Amino acid sequence: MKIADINLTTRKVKILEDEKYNAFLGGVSLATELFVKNCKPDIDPLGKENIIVFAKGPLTAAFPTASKAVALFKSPVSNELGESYAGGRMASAMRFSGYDALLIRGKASHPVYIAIHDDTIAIKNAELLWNLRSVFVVGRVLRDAEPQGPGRRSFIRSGRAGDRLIRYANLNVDNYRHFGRLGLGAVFGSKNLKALVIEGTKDFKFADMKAYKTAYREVYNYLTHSDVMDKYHILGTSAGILPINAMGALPTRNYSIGTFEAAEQISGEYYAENLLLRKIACSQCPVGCIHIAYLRIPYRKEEYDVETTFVPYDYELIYALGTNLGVSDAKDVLRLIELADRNGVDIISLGGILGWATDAFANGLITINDTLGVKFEFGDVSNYLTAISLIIRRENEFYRTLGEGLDACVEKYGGAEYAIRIGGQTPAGYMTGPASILGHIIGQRHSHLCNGGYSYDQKTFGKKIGYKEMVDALVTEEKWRQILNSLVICLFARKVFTIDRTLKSLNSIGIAFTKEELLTLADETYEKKNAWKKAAGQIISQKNLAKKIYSFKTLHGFIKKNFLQKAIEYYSELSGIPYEVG
Amino acid sequence: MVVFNKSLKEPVEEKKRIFRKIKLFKDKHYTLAMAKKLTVRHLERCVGCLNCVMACARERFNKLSIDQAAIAVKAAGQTAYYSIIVCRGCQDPVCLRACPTGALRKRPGGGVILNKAKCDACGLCKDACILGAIKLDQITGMPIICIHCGQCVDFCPHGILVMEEVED
Repeated sequence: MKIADINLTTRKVKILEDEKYNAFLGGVSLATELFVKNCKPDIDPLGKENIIVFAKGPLTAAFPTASKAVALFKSPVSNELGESYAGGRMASAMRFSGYDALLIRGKASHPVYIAIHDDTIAIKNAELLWNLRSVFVVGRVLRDAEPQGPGRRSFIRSGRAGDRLIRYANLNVDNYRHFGRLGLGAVFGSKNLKALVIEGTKDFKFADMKAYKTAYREVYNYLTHSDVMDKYHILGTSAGILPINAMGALPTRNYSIGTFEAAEQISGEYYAENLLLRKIACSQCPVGCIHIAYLRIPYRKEEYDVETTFVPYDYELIYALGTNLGVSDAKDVLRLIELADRNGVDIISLGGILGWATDAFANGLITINDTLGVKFEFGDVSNYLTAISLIIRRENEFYRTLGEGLDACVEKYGGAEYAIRIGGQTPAGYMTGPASILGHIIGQRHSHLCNGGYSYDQKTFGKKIGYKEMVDALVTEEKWRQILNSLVICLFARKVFTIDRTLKSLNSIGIAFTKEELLTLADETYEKKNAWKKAAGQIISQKNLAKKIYSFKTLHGFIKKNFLQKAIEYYSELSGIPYEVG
Repeated sequence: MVVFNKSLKEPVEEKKRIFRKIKLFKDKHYTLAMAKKLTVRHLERCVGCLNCVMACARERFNKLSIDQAAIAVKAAGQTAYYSIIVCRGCQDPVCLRACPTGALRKRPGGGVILNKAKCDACGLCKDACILGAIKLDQITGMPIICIHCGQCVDFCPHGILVMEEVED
């Protein structure tokens, strides 16, 4: 394994080449090993002691859908382990520049970006990029400033939200993919780091090219000739809007209800038929799930002037800034997504913040003086657009607080019952039942993708599941996903990479892992992260769950406090992470 | 079942077998079989997945590489579609005319075949092809040129690349 250790304070770069890391396979397992050894659990996430580890996987670029990179850091949102994934060209660029992992530590004296071209790692001045109005402009400038390399280059950068330390700022990867959750953009901002450019021209040869080609074909054929990827390829994740609405699991108006009356007008079908510009793919992935809409907004109508932007959309974005804010026009949802995306904020978190503000405003916790004239009201897009701009500008105390996250809002203004949060952030919009909520609580990164609780709810529809059985199922799934996330495949292709196909793929490129070794590595990685989280002061609890969650009628009926508590206590016993009665 | 690539009826493995048979046949009866060349038929449908690039590197050059491939995919910013940069198979190749050492000869169906033994790695062929379809190997300096073998065609999920029959 080859690891670049980049210190922004001293501007020194160390290259570690050590075979001992081979035992960690790559991806999240490798990143965890590097992270827990280098980052103390009790540090300030926005201080210079925080470190960021990026890692690619052993299958990266060699197999289709192994297109993701993982990032570990201490999260300024949850104040514990930050774990985030992004697609685009980043993982592939890491492969061809020859690095298995990048470790970024310290804080630069002024804004900088890191440019990696094969063996060259340069820390360059980024003052001109700081606070630029759009992450897309940052990308464009860097594309021209850095050496060319068709298909090889990756541009990872933060937006203004990151520069201004909005805690849930994201990182944009190659325009349309993101390290979305848990505030990696703010960590970049706190390090005076604006962007990371990666490019390389290395090539690789495996000992048995014939075996590799055979294994490759098997995966490729399965991906393209079966229907496993149809959901993602055809409509994209927004295919979920209508079925999840039909289940009553689509959070609407800040989790007041699970169906949205205008779901058809903002469904994946509607977007695909009316606003889809094109689909694109991450490197080496034949699926092409990235759906991009065009948004055409006329201005100075008498002169037929028009501004056109290109906006990626997904299920979670449509829920967060659409149904959850009662916005029923597909173009209006795109306008909100575009503004948030251009400034580099995590959209799910932003949706939860605006939802809280709307309820808090209606109930008199915040006044028009606080909001500087913005009348928060569900469905009112122009007010939401103004509010987003004011959050990004950190305009006054109220908007500064909105930029600090839901916990800070509740602490200052109250309204815990309107704050839909788990681990300090709003969950992805799947109110399918107890496994979804529990999955977010016990998931190591509090994401729906930790353990797929929403999917478990749907599979067990109509069945009564005991709390032990549910926790066991979620933990087993999450442990298995440590392997998928070490590979690092896209979780959309999780059905393709079964244990057999995983082993065959690894073995074909000369990585001799056995099933037992993989499963042991999964357990170790999972436990290592939990130990760090425990040391960082994590407590599992349902204390911060809003009342609304319990009065939400899901597929499995109401979510019961007792049931959750028993599950939490059982998980606490399993993991050793302390719990709290809530 | 819906398949992405509507033009592919059977999985790649099977198609390869048939393809190889045809190739054998072609080699034996060179003058009888119609020559083919690689053509980008639906450029506007490209999603930028790079599977053609990876296929060229893997199947032809036995490598995992983006650079060691005779085809390249280039993004054109957010507004325009991708560029697929590959030899267009000239009947009277410009690169061949630029070659001072006679290392390039005409390929039946269009394009050129490189004779490495005669190549001095001067790079004049690369300069002559303003499409940018010729790359130079970073180590040897010799040109990397498409031989129109069609391996990439099988790995385009959108049927963008085709092998087109050409009248000589």
